[in-house]
Amino acid sequence: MEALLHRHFGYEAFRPGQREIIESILNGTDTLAILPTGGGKSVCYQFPSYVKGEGLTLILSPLLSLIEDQVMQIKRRGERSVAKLTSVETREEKEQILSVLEHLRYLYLSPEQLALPQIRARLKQVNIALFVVDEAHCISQWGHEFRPEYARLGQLRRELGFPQCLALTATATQAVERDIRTQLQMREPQVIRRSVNRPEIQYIVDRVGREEKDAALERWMTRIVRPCVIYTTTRKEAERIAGIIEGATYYHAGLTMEDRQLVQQQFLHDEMDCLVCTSAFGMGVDKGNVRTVIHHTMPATLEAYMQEIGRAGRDGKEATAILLYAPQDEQLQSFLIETQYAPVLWIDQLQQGMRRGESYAKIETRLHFNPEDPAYRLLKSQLENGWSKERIIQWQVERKQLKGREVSQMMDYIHRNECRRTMLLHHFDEPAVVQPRCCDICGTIEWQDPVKSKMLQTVNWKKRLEQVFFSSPDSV
Amino acid sequence: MEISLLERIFLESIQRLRDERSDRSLYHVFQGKKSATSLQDAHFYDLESTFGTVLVSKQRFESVLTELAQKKWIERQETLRLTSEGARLVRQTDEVIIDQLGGELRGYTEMMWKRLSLLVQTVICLEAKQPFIPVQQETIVREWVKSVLPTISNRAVWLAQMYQEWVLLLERLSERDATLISHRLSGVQTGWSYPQLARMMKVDVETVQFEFIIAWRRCINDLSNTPLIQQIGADLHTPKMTQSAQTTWELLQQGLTVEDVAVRRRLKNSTMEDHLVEIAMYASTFPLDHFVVAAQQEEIRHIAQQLKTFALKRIKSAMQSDVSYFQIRLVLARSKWEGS
Repeated sequence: MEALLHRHFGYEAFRPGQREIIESILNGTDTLAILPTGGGKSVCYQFPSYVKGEGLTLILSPLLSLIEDQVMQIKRRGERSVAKLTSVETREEKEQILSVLEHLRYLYLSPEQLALPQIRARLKQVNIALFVVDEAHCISQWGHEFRPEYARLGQLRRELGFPQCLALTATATQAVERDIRTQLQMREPQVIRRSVNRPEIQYIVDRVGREEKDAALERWMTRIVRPCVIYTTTRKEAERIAGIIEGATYYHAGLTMEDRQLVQQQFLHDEMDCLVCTSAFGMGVDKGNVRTVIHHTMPATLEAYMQEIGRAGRDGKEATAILLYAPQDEQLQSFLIETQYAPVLWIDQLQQGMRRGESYAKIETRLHFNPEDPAYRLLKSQLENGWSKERIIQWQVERKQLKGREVSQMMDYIHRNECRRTMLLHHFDEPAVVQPRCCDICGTIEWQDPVKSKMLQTVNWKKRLEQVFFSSPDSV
Repeated sequence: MEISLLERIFLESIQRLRDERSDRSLYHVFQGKKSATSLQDAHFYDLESTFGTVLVSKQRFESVLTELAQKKWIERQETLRLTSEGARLVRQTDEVIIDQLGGELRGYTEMMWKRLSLLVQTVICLEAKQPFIPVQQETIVREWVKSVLPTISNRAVWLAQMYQEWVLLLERLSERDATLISHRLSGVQTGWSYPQLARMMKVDVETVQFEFIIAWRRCINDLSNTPLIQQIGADLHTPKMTQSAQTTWELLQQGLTVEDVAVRRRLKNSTMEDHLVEIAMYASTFPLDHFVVAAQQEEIRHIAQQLKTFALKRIKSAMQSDVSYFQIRLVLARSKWEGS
């Protein structure tokens, strides 16, 4: 197996947990794998195909950017029989892909695409070796990222004749784990759980006054080791903060496609070593030497926090996670929670329109609804499933309560005088771990000497052209 | 008062619209909407160069117009027009920005950048054995690069020549233009994002995007001394006409009559007329006399010139003889060819 691993993926050895998951799949068992970010999830579902030799590996993934990233990485390692079906492909492209399914090794698609009758019908005709559900926690209503499209996956899997299933997630409490198993109708699955603990990361929370946040950030910047990632909640903030940090560049979904590739490449290639970004960055970006992750504003949940700091220290070397908090930061999160759900007025308006026999499209135009707004899409899918107004409102209330609880867990982490590592582990139902270089509460923070920061340098065009064409990577 | 590059583009364009077209018309030209009306607007009002090159969101388009109106540089009613202050601002410099955007080349400029930037990055990185994220993600561009790669037999030689050609092109440009383009390009070192370029040039992101478009258009204006780069765009000729008008034009060239084509393609009369206007705008020869007698052509041209208008209604009502709107459109479409 190591020889195959080396030939196709270029790695010398499996990472902890990978072999176990792969063997479980090769035994034909439905498998639920809970691997922390950076644990090498993709190898787990991409590898078995080389052993089995035949059959299509189907990968369901919630985010377009995630799918594009994965497909790119597979191609980069030299594997060509991979395709994707998402909202981006034209009808012709989709038909072309569907016509060559038999020759494909991997097919990535979003749950919405799988739900389309013509795609499903075609998939029924081919041999599906493995049905992979990535980010499987999205299926659980208990999860922080519930996606209604995921709720149908169990039924879709049944329609495809129950192909062997592998569900993957980075974070799952016991409740979420149970939900994944039932919803996907997994039969006596083997559950493989790796600890979420990341011993190479030390944790710091810095509580500051509202006006002092930027100053605090700048202070930390003189101490930490780069490359570093600074997370913000909004695009505007990312732009503003990149403006005050020396050598920093921002990245968010509002950039052009070309700009996003450029910034990612600069960062991966160590030409620039401070990236300020929203949560749009990081999905599938495999950069081993990120030394520090700083949150300028807290994320909405501990799960999201774990995922984002998980980008630090993937190479196993020492890393640091710093969370900045100022009073009222949580209010932004509470506000964002509100915007995720449709107001009651919309329910009335949609129901009125439908009673008059109008189509959704017509109502959307008349009332200027944005069909891409997630809150609207969610409401629409609930109405299409025949939910009553009362049920929707009740559901929204419960969801908001859940999200509110998640924000207070985050607040708890920030304010409690308890070992940060222990709190995080307890949140995921794991026992505490005692280790040196742990967190600010334990008082065991260790600093390394900061390395000189790498900045993009403006040079005259002749020099620049030489650098682009000829300078060896070492002289960068 | 400070005027941004985008504001200047708007003001110059609005001036050319002569108080005869609406904000929607302008938006469609900027977006490069391939409809008979938008093509005709771009052609009549001399906005071909902006066609499909001022790609701002609908929201941004609105906000620019609102800001211009607030500054009292334009007035917004049924039609868009410059105020005297707006007109003064446009006159301030001799240089006309909008004519440098390259829209008349219909995507050629943009596609040249996409092809060239990806090809250069790919060859350099392959030669340096350095992994890279392709700077262009579009399938059509990547497929093109894939098809070209095998034709490069000696990468080192190719790179040396390519480098020389880049030096030749950038030498002709201003320091600022050359700096912009050379820093956007990726190879051993990675190109810069627009926000990074904006910071370097000390302008906002929107401005640097348009500066780049204009600089790139200038850069590839004449490729006769750079055969390797010229070759990259050799197969790119996007027809200016809509696909459908193009088909009609081909059939007419094969000798079919207008009626034949209409029957064969089941075209409505008005559609046929749109096609003929498009052909009149873009084809090097057109049998105008076949549709409008010489005296009427003369009269239409004369009135259009005298009233300084392309508004069909105004021309028609000023005519002595009876002509159709279709005939007026044809004469106006043709005047770009025959007037000069």
